[in-house]
Amino acid sequence: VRGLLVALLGLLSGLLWRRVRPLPDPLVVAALGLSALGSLGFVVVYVLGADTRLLGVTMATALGGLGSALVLWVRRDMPRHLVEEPWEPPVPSTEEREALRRELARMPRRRFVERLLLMAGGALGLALAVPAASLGPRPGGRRRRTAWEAGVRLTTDGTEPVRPGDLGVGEILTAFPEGHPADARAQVNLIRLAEGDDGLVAYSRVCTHAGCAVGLYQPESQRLFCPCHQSQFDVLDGARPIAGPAGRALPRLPIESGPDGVLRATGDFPDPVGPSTWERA
Amino acid sequence: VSATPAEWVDERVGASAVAAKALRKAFPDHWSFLLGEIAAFAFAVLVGTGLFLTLFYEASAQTTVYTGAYPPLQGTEMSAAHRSVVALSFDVPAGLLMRQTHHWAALVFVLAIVAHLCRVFFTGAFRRPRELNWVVGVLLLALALVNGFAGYSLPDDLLAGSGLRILEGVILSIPLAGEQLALLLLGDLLDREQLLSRLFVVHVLLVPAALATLIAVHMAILLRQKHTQHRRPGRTQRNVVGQALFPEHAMLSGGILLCVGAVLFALGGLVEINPVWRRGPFDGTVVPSPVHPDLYQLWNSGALRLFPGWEPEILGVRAPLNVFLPGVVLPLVVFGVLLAWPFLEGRREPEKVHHHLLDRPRDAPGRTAYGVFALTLLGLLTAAGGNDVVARALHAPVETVNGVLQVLCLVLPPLAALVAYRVCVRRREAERG
Repeated sequence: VRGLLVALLGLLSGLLWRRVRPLPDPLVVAALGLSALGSLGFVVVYVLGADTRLLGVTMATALGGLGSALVLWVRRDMPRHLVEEPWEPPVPSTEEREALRRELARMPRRRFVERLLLMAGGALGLALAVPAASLGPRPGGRRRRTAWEAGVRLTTDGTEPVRPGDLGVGEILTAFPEGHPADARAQVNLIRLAEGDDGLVAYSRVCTHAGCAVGLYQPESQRLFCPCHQSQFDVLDGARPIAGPAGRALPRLPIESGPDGVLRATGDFPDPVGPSTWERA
Repeated sequence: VSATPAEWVDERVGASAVAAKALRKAFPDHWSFLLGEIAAFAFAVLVGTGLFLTLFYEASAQTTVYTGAYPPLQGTEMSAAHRSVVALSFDVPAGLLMRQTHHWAALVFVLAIVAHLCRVFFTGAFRRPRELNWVVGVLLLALALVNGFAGYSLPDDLLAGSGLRILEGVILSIPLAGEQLALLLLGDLLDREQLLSRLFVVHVLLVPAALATLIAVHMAILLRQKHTQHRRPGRTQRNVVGQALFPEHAMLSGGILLCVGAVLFALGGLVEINPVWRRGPFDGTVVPSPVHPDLYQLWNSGALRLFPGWEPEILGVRAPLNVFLPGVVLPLVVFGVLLAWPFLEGRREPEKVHHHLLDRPRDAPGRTAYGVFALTLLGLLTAAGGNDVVARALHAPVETVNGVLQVLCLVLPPLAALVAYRVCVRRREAERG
């Protein structure tokens, strides 16, 4: 069967070839043949499970073959031929400008009406722009408050409470207010710096620079890192920024050990969390 | 009876005369005139692949569970948006090819625009009467950057989430209106249902429509004003010499279009880009490390990383200059200067001269020096966008790398500009003998 197919193909191409005069550039023919093979291959690959790499290669062959055939055809088969067009600066002549002015002048001047027209048009524009306000809720101190308030317990996932003994010295965990799992604004880094109740600190986990989660901690240097813009905060010194672009300390959440042995907040953050806005210090 | 469909149309609209003239339009045959075309071709690939992606993407933050063909994410909770992107990558035949080709095409689109802009800038092609088309081109670049960011945010993965939070931080740093603007543009970042559908409309309709319209305007103005040309024998202020639109330029251009497509599909098939499945779905409490935007946004990230942490109190008001200056003012200045450049240069010309023959960079040492200044600064800021990568490669602390880059940003651009100026003047003098 394969021999028959080869013979048939040979006969067909031989017949075609005899009728093609003058003989075409073999490179162009090869590129076009390659392109057709690429297209065929793309379909075959798609049907046989659509491997991404083979799809990419076959499509690139199909497009690249066709593209290079065109470029080769221009470069090898067409004599270099330059055309010349006249060029004038696109400046209108005095007559053309005058003709336009005459057309425009057919509009009668009514200064008062024109002014009213402008006013009414402007009012309409304003009115049409107002519905854009539907895009957002009104700000109202929302950014200044979080879910923390006095008595709210620290949890790891909104339900599982955190006790002072859960952390050894140099250890860190991410805590959320009870009932607010994965609250991105209220999240804190709880770190044990030393033994005892005073050895625990909780800092906002939202970077004061651009708002990413301050997710990296280096116990040896006692620094918190933000991976977005490489700000660094000194945990021993009130989470003050010591390197990188942040300009404000991470707000510290006031915490205590409650009567049930669970850590709880004694209030909200004293400072706004997250990126700074222009506001009274 | 009309012989061909073309003649049939011609007998009804009478296009022969116009077409014959149009087919003889002269295209300068210098390679640098093809950079803009490459950008246009990348745009064509973006539209084609983007259309495919649009049919599968789901702009919804509804929580669903992934049950597709990618084992590590089996049973993971994620937004419908993220699930649809992971499904596009693993469950839709040819989906990953289209996604990756789309992403590569976006990079090539922006880079080709910048290269084209450099060609037009350094040869003075933007001068009278072509200032308007320069402005349209700069707007196209700005829109390309905006759409790149919107597209980067759509997969709703960890990186996309970080990008949006940083954008919110940058908007918040705007005096007085920051908070209102952030809420208006992004809504509540925690409620991503609205945000994703807005980003989707921006990315697939608003900005692409604006891009297509402005590309059409760009072309229409070009056709009316015709191409500039380099100073060569036979080329004057009163002619355009080059290849005819048909057949030479059409064939060459079509060939390059297909070859650009070939490169993009080869990249899309073979070189992984933005593997969202490896970082996982968006989670406001997790931030990936490292965090890097796309190549063409790195200069923004770099500026935010390099700027010192200035948050001074001005008259009792805390001013987040550390975000406002690099995040808001710098891009505005960059695009402001770009938009104004032809007019700044035009004002220094005593008369209303129409420029048709191009400068070589050495013919305008001052302009070349400013351009080199800008490109050097852009390069340094782009490097700063990867300061963590640089630090890891050099085994140096990030602070040190930052310090060095800060100094370089102040020293290197003026130095490079000075050198460029001297080289231009020297070469011009050598030519004059």
